[in-house]
Amino acid sequence: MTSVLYPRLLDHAARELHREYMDSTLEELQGRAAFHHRAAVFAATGGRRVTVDELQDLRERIVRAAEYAGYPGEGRRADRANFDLEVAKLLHQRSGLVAAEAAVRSIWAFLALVLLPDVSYWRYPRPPADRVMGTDITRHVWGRLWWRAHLLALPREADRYRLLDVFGEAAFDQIFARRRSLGGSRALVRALAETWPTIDRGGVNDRQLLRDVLKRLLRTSAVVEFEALDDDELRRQVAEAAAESVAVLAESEPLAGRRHAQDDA
Amino acid sequence: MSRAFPFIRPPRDVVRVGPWSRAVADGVEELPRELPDWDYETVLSLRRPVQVDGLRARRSSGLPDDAELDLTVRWGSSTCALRGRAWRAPVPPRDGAEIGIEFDLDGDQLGGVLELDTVLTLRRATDGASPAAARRPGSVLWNDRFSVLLQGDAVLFPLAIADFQDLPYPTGAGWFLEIGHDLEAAALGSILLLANERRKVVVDALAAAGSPSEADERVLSALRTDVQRALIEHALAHEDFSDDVEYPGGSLGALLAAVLRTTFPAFGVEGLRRERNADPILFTARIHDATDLLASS
Repeated sequence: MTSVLYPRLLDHAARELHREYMDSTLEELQGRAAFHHRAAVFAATGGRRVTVDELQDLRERIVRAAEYAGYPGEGRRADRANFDLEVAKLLHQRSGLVAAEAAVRSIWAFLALVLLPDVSYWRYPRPPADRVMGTDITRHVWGRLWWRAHLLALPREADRYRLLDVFGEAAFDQIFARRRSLGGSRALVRALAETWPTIDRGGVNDRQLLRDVLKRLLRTSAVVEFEALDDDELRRQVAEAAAESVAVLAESEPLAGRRHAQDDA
Repeated sequence: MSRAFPFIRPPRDVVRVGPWSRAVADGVEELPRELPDWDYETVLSLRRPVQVDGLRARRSSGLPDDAELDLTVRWGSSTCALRGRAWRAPVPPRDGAEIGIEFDLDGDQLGGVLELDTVLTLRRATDGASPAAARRPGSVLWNDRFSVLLQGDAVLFPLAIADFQDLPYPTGAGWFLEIGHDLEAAALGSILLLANERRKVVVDALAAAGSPSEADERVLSALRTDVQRALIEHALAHEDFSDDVEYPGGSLGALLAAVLRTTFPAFGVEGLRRERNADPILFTARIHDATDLLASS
């Protein structure tokens, strides 16, 4: 696959733009959207440079998705969650990024601060720097969505993004934050997403349950090679870890603590 | 770091691995530790001969002869923190079984350090196993790791040519190394070498890095030394950088630690900070010495 290369916005420019945009109105930010920036450069790595037409197309699609979610108005929380899912698909399907290029934080700074400043600051009003600068891709307004789609996509299936909405934002963050230990295995993340809706929670809080399942899988990964397993066996082991977690948590958790069983996962 | 396995593992020599090799235009060559010509569009065609004593592996692991074992290769990429299965085959229950590992690895998931783990695992336990034998499918009975540095081009980092007139750097500077501050972020996403298109001699030398003339080589030597100096200065000036911390593989912190170790193997970070503060001119000369500045090849 030929990678499409995106401009990398240099740090000093990203910092300056963020400082300026924190006090800008949405109308002002709409006027600042652009397809290039003097301090944005292309790396001389394999691939071809994104064209202005492609950037324009990406911007138009994301703005349209934002409008469905209420942009430029505030919109409802549920609409923003749907907007995130829509954009995750859009970015993954249409940006032409490969994983190595998507790990470069300065391309995400370009998207947030040059191509889409209005939508970025609409999605996260007055955001902390890492939401737009890409200092932490797991928190970046657009970068985290591309990675969510990448880890959960099923390339061989017709509905390749059907697992995208299994986890809520906070739950997926728990997985993505463990990218170097567990979350970097697409097979394991997909098995977890396939299994998650079928787990009998027994009233246990979702967030706690996921944290405990991830802990168990991490422990197991020291002596078991998940990549060697077939999909059905992998799902069986995830379900087994989840059942153990439910048994232990249900035992230790007082009933009163189970009220938020369906809260944020 | 060694792991404690809660089951019996066979002796190391039940698996004997040959060298990794890769297919190239005119045949096959041993896989080097660095692949300077790699980019995202490269497909690596990799091979490795392996001999497994399949029967001895089972018996010395406390497993019955009809237990099912697999040999698997897992790839891992430091830049993207992704991993996956590259290849897998069953291991027959006989000694001296020859198994040829062979697969293609697309570049679009890779970057930084590529890790190739060859792993012997249990696929399915059967009746008659020792109580101390592995039972869980996927249990690692034997493993081996080989690492390759990808993208090791002439200057090791992504490079961009830009007009410094447009950037906040001195218009006549030959180059500038942009380095991030997050020590745990992927190194290759945190470092960008900017070359000034107004300095033709630099741009030309970088373009010719694959087969440089003597004049290009001198420019590249100065560039390499200065890049290394910038990384060392960045590490020493970064108040959170320490040699007590184990930074994740492929991270900026790990790269800075490796650069310091290679350049000054006999010094710790604090010692280097003192040395630089006490005599910065001598410190710079030490970097020139360690990086063979302008030494003829």
